[in-house]
Amino acid sequence: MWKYPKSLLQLLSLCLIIIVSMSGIGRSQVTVDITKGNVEPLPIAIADFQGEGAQRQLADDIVSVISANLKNSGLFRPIEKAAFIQNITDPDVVPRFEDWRLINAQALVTGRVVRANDGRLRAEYRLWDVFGGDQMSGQQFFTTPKNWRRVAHIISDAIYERLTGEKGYFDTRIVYVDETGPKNKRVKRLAIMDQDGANGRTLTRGSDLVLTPRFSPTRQEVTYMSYEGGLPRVYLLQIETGQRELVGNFPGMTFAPRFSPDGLKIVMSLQKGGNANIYSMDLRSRQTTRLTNTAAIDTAPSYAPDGDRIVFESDRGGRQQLYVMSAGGGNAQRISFGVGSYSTPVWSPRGDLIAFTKLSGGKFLIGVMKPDGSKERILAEGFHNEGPTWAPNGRVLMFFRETPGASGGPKLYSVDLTGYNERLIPTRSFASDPAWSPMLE
Amino acid sequence: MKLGATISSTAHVAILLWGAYSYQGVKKFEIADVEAIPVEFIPIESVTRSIEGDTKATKAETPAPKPTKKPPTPEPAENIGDSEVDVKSTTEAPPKPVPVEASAPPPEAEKPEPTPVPTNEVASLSEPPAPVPEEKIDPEPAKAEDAEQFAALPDSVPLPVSRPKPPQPKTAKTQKRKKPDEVKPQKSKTASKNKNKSSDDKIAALLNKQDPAASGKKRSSKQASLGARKSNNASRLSRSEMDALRGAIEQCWNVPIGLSDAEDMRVTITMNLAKDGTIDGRVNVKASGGESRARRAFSESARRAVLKCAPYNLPNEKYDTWSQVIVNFDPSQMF
Repeated sequence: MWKYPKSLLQLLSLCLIIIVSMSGIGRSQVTVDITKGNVEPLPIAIADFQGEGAQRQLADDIVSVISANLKNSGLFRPIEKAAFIQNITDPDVVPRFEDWRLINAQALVTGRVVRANDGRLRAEYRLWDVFGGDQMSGQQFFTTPKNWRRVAHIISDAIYERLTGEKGYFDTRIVYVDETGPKNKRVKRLAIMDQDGANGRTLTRGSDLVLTPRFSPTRQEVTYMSYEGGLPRVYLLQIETGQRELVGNFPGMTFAPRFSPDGLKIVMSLQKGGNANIYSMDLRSRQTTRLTNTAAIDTAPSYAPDGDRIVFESDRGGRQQLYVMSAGGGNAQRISFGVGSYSTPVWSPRGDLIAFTKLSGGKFLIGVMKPDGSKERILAEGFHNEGPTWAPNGRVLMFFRETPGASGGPKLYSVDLTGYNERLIPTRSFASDPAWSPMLE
Repeated sequence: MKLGATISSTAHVAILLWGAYSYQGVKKFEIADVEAIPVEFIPIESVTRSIEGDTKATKAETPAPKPTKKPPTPEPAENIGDSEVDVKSTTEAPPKPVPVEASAPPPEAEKPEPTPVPTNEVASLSEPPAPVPEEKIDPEPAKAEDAEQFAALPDSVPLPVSRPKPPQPKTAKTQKRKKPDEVKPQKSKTASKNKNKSSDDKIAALLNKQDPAASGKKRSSKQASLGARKSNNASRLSRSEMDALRGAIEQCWNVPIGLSDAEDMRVTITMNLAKDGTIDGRVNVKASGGESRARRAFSESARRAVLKCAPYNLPNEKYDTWSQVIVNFDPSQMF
């Protein structure tokens, strides 16, 4: 039954409805709403970089590292060189975009490597938008020829960042536990390598058992647990100098260390009797603060990127579950409520997610959830997955997976945040407990 | 009120009870073993919608109606009595500014990008050499806009002597009933008249093909004829054609997955299409939401999608409807 609008507001809203419905009439344009698309790697063409003489080989090497980086990220599909129509001879000339459109390349990378007068290497690249027909970015770098890998990683990061809107993670390193020898008599050393598995070397001699290395988010520093001196203790290691020191002077065993986001504090567990509590230590003043005080085992603390909160695991409720408390301690809230037990939480550098290991149905899984415990997703399954670590851009996770059997052992894997693109990271021997470095500076 | 509610609820309860009782032993739905009949969907719009006013159509015998246009009302004279000033003031509307296509801006010299300053060895970047522009010069000179021709406005408008009377509401027209003997002769009269006229029309149509006449007809079922530049809004993309367009763009779009705050990012692209389905000029990209770096990557991926999809395969006879296409990219349901 129609009634006259009672108030001015009603009248106005009526007018609005009429206007809105009328405005659709007589418009000679088509409006399309796109709510889904191709979730496929972006086809990218990486043309050969120009290089003369001794630089020819380097140019090819740089291109292959860039190509491998982009491909391994799972977000790009480098196009086979055999498909290229145009042969780029001068990277300073605008390419014939039609030729690259024909092979369906959405982006094109060109570049050159030359030796500067001072003997240094100059590597430059240009990133072209093939369909838009313009240059998206272009940079050049000077370095020693020995350092060509880093240049390739930096160029990869620049391309990645420009095309995905995310920070890259190729110019990073991984510290991990290198495992050799038979299963019952493993030698465990701290080792470091580039993110893609290249340039690996060991940091400790292997006389003492080492576990859970963690990279400082600000410096080339690693904190880890070692059985040096009999009792498990937390140590700090300068990667460049090899200098080592004990963190804190606690009576019991200390374990599960991790840096604060500013790199100035270390948070860890201290065991006393049958229970363990979480402590933080200021690296400058050496002052320690007790953060939890329970009869349960509280361990694996990890700071939020803003440094305000800490996520940790505790069995105070009977099984291991994840809890979040303020960085000063107290007011712990349980966030994990799924079936099974949760451990080794790691807060994403982006802040939006917490990665964890979940034991459920006899399987160890790697998953992520929001800091309030919602939207839990499992990214990797298998017999034994453990120890997730975040890439500095917060979109790739690395973890280790142990294969069963006498000859089995742990290997490192990376997986995209979407759960796609799981990859084995090549290491020379068995490897566990990976920890991703911040972006190199 | 109370009574009504009571009656209503009783009736509902009664129906529910009856339903629960009588549908207890319902037979299982059995599917007969029949062969499937292939069904093809054909857009009905091409049949039902008039294609009148199509510029490409061959000239028909009878002219197609041209939409009437309201002439712009002249501004009222401001200086009544001051003849000099008033004569000077013109009644003609000021000429429309014709958009002139500006020539492409000269290629800017590249700005040096901030480098990810690496440690000691990798030094920061100096400005890379600007790319040699390879802009082609458009051989075609800028076309003057095909302005629609209007009859010149009269200088003076004769004023109506009296105000036209508003139509009076009419009541039942019973008195109009006429006797059959009165009607008959009239009817035959008009019939003969029409006959003459129609033959005249036919002869005229044979002799000369006509340009469209101006009339306000919105639609007709007449055959297409050379008509107005713009059709009478009678054509519009059918649902299946819209779906095809949407599907094509979705196929072309490589979604940048896993972006932070992708849920609240929106990109709207407006593009003008030429008749052959290619993109005419630049596409206009508007993006909102999200963090700036992610927004740029997202809007560029959307721009690549529409550029990659060109030329668009759309029904040529409906060009007027798709001469401008607006594409909204909304990833909120994707993640």
